[in-house]
Amino acid sequence: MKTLETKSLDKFYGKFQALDKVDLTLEQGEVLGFLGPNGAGKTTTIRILLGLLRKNSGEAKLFGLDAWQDSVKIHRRLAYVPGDVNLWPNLTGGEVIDLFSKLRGGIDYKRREQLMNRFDLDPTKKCSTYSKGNRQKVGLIAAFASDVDLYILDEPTSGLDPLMMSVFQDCVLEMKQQGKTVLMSSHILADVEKLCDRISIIRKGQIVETGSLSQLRQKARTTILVETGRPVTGLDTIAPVYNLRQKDNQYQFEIDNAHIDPVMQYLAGRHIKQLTSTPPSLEDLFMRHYGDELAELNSRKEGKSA
Amino acid sequence: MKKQDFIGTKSLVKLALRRDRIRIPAWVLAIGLYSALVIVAYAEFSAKEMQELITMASISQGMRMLVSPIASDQVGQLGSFFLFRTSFLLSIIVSMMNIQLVTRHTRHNEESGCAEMISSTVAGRYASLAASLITAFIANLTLFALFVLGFIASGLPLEGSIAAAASFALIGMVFACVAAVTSQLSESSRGASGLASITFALAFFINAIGNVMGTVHEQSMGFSSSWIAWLSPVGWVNQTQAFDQNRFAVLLLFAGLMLILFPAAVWLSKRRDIGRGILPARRGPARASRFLTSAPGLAWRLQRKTLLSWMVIMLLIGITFGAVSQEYGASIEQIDVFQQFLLSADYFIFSMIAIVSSVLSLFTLQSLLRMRSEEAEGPLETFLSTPVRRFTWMLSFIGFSLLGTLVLLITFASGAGLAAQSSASETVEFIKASLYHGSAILVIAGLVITMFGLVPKIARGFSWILVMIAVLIGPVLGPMLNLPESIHNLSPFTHIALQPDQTSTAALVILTGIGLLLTLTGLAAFSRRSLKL
Repeated sequence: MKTLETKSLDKFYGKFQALDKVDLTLEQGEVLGFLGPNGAGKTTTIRILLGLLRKNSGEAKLFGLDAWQDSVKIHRRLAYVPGDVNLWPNLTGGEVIDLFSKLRGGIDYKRREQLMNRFDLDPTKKCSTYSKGNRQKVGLIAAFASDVDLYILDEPTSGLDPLMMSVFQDCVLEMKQQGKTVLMSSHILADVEKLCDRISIIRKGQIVETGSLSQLRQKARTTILVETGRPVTGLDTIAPVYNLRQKDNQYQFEIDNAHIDPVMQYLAGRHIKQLTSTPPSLEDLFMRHYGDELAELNSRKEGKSA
Repeated sequence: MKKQDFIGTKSLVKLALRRDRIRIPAWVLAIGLYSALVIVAYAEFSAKEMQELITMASISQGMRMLVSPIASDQVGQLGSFFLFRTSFLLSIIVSMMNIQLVTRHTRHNEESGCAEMISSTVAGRYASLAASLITAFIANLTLFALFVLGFIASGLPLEGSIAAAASFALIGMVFACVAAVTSQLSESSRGASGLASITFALAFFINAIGNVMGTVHEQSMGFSSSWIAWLSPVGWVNQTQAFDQNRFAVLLLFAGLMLILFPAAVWLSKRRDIGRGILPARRGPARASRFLTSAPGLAWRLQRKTLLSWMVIMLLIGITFGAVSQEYGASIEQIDVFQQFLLSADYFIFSMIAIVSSVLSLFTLQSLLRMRSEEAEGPLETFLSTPVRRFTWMLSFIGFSLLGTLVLLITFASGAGLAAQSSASETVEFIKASLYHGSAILVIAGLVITMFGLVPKIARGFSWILVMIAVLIGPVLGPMLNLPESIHNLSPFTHIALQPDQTSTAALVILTGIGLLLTLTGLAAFSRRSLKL
């Protein structure tokens, strides 16, 4: 049984289609990175999974139970941290943490103290006086203090300082070692690269890519920087070449990973003086899916688009 | 205060007017229309009817709290009669409009973070404060114009119309300035508008005492208030004596008070940081009490202060009215005209119970709408991700609201009974009467709950409108409007008689039934809908 599964999930806000046949799966013990630009549908998907929003069609299941129908049963086994932790202004951080832990099954004071120290949070302050980062910490401590099977974290590190980000990463890795399952949306690629077993990228309500990082890298392009003794001509007859730049006998270009072998064989005959090959970073993967959007945004900057 | 401290005020006024493009016109039109309607209704009263009503109120110390003083040669005049009966209500509504308006554009802006963005732009230190008061000024000026138009159209003299309209617009401005001050003191917009409302209540109470301590004219033809009324801006509205002496000089008092309040607000705002209040936020417990960690516990924890302050107010008013009722009973027996009414000290308390119950529906409304703010402001999203049923959460907030209303009703009735030195059985009757009115409040509660369940985004505005209508066409204020009986019957309050033994069991059963049915509808609807964040 999958810990979390959606099948062709659709969601409309009036006429606007927020989700278009979204398929997500998450096995037990896995950490899934849920990536996508702002407004792509990450939070909507998460809220449907939590039974806070109704879906229009498709399936959303957690622990084999329907996200809307059996939300209370499901919620016993998960902890959620929203992207923008909004709390009751007149309650203290400590009270909020206790409230959530208790509702999720009980307070483990030792663990609570330990997390409070690690995240360096003053629990006696009223929530109205916390900064965004501190409110985020309250949400994270309340979640990690609960002994549950699944953690759903919506942009959990937004507003945290680099030190707290690394505390957060340690916490997630500990959860992973204990066999817990994590679904996290994030824009912080370092978090994703370090923590996630698999990633799913959503764009305009559609899942455009799913897989492990190495699988995705396989599909992506490698950047080659080469200096040769003899001029390189007709490279594009060997394989599709992207973003080719040339200065004398120095060439920089990108090729699909599938074509590395023939291109290398071709270059070998051109007397290679120097060669660097850079595997795609997560940022490249990410940008590739945003590519046309980026192009559009850039053209707007130049005033070409209306 | 330098000129550059106010840079950008003009753009901020435009922003405020744009944000309030529906709210301000709705308030202003509703108030203007209501007062015009009331005058039209009063125009049908004969001079004798007016005189009877004035006499009845003048001799009752309790009723004098809710009316304006009136000179004996003005008895029978439409303009003075209108002010006699409605100026307290108009003062309340106009002041509330201004308090809401100013806190929304000052403290609430800081809470939501908008103020920070604004302050970082080319906007002077006091631009926000000034802009919110200028916006209030524009609203009050429009109201002034509408009042004058409405009064003249009803055939009232021009000079008096201007004096009356100006006094209402100016009390509005005074409480706009009060809200500007409390916005600096408190750290939340709820706290700021609460402090300003308490200030208004205090001013209202001082004027009421001034009226109670006043002297009744010969043959009970009106009364004049004592010097105490001059201590309160609410009293100044009455002392302007529009349509009679038209004392425009009194209006200078409002201006004078504003000249103290505005610099005070500026002075305070200089002494605090953005987002913070002068009154410091205290630290709280590091751990939650065992009671808090449940849905009902949360509903209690979030609203206990509100309930406790209402309780103190209810107890005070109950004791005051109870004490006053004794004298009312004594004075009323000497007058023949009222022998036909069953008038006694008890009757007075029963009518006060009816008035206070209508007012208490505001507590019910406010505490029920807390559900909507929990949803819209975000905490509910996280709360419902825990294994708590939506039903449990909602029932907790409804339970707090309804039980709180019951407690307040009983507090008032027993306070009045105690102070009136009533017998135990009489006090039980008072409590019974308030609980009967509770069934009418239950209908209002049901409506609010249904709207929260079905149409959450407009629930807040519509609930306020519905409650206002129910109170205005109900038995307390409705008779002023001379509306057909079928319209009066729309208000649930109309179906509860003053004395418990005159209320039919059928009415109680039907009202309670409707209330419960609406509540269940709301509960079912909320369990089925998406959250509207």
